[in-house]
Amino acid sequence: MKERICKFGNNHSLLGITTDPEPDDYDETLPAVILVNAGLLHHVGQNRLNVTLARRLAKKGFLAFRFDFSGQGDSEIQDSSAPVRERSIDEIKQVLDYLQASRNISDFVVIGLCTGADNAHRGAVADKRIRGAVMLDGYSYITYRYLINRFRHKLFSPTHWKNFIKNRISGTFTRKKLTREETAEARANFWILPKRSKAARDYAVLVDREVRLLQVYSGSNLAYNYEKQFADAFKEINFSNLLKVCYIEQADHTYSILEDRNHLISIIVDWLEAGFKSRLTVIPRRSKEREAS
Amino acid sequence: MNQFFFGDSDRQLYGVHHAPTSANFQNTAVLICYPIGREYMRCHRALVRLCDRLARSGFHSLRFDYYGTGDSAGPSGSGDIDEWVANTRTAANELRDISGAENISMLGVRLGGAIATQACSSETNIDKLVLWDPIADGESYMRQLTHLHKAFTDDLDRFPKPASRSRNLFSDELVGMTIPPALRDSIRRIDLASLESMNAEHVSVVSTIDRDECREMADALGRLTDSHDYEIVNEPAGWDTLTDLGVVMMPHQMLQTMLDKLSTNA
Repeated sequence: MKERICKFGNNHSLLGITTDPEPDDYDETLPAVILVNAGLLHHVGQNRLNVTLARRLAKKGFLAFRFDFSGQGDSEIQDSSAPVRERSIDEIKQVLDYLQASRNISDFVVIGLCTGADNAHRGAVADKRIRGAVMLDGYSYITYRYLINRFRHKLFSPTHWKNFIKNRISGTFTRKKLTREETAEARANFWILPKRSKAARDYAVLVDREVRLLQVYSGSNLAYNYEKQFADAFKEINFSNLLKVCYIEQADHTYSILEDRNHLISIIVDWLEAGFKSRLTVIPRRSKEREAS
Repeated sequence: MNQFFFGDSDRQLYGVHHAPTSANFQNTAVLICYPIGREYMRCHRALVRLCDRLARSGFHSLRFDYYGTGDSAGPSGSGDIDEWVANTRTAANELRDISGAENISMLGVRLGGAIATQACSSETNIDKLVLWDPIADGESYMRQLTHLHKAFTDDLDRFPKPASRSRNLFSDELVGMTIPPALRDSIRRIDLASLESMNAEHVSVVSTIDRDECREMADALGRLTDSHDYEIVNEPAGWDTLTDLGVVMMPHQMLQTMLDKLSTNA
């Protein structure tokens, strides 16, 4: 495994790090895996998730690329008047252009958590070179079963009633008023859930292009509470074998517990191998897998 | 910004050099020593901004990741304090080579403060040592992290499902950080008040809370240097607060204070 620093994009203002597999492990027919920023966090990722995942992927023969959007982490600010959400899609394209030109790679998979999932989704819709997308706590939509689960949980949860009464007494239902600066920052760094109909149109486009999707939800995501919720929310779409959904009930949003982080990484690596290595006629020699740390 | 790897090729460290953007070139360069874990993620953005401002004031600066942290080589939890102090000395030499500056100042945040201070005890030509909420007592820091980890894993907003709590969550990790016994023990051994040598010309301790630990540390280090000061910046950082664990900070007042401390009489 070899890591290299790259300056790319407009005026070479963006910072990325490639994690290359050992030459014996590398298979150039595999897509490169792009790791997108989660919120304001830089490319290392919370609990070093992106670094660990990139190194684990390289051991499996995938070239991984983590980078910072402009003005974040170690990337410079790019001159652009476009809104942040449009700019992030343009910058994902700059990543693909760079790797295509410098490494002759034409297939990509994007992985993102939270706002990164939103960017991964929109990037996949916008660019046909993206053949797969992993969304961690990405879009989720209410279903009848979700409501029943939630209502049942609240009804029978002593903690819920205890907090409800405590909050009523202390008046913490009053929302803190954000300053103008805080509101602007919140708008720039949090995504707005698109209407279900818009998301359904996007998924139809992705299915039509045979883009593979991995949706992973954590137990701390209050908008998701059972594994099949995603499939139930989009019953009209025939994902066939292009969709895999995982619900990691015990995990928090940023996979802070090592056991959960390793589990997540295994899910992603297995999904990538199953979806993209199956086309191979020759299986490259692989080094012994080490536990992710 | 110029990013690069340095040090031994099999244990390479990731560094980011900020070159001066003004003609007012200073003969002192600034080395930034990060904290670790969540604290590292929380203040990374603020330290990038600080380096930008130092560059505008004519300073070279270098931020770097210790072995086994950030983008540097090594799996998480593989380094220890001795290695990170050695990394800091390597980074100081790298910064001297890049910048041509004769003197180095160091800024250490939290555990980075303890690491920078230990590195200063054997480095030469250190101008200023500026410490932001430094960890002076490793034992007390580990207690604080353990307490925070317990509150974190008990937090029903983060772990609402019963399946989350049926596990041993205190094996080798604290609040998302991998801390195996060797690293844990090396942190516990930190006791800056007992340091016997210090080669910095001036030590500044800046605290967001008036803590006895920091005040005593400033006095102890002050006895080893020509001059020292202790200042409180009333801008809560929430290092040990559950609600701030995932919050990326931008403490404007603290950054200005750091900038003033590093650039005064340069």
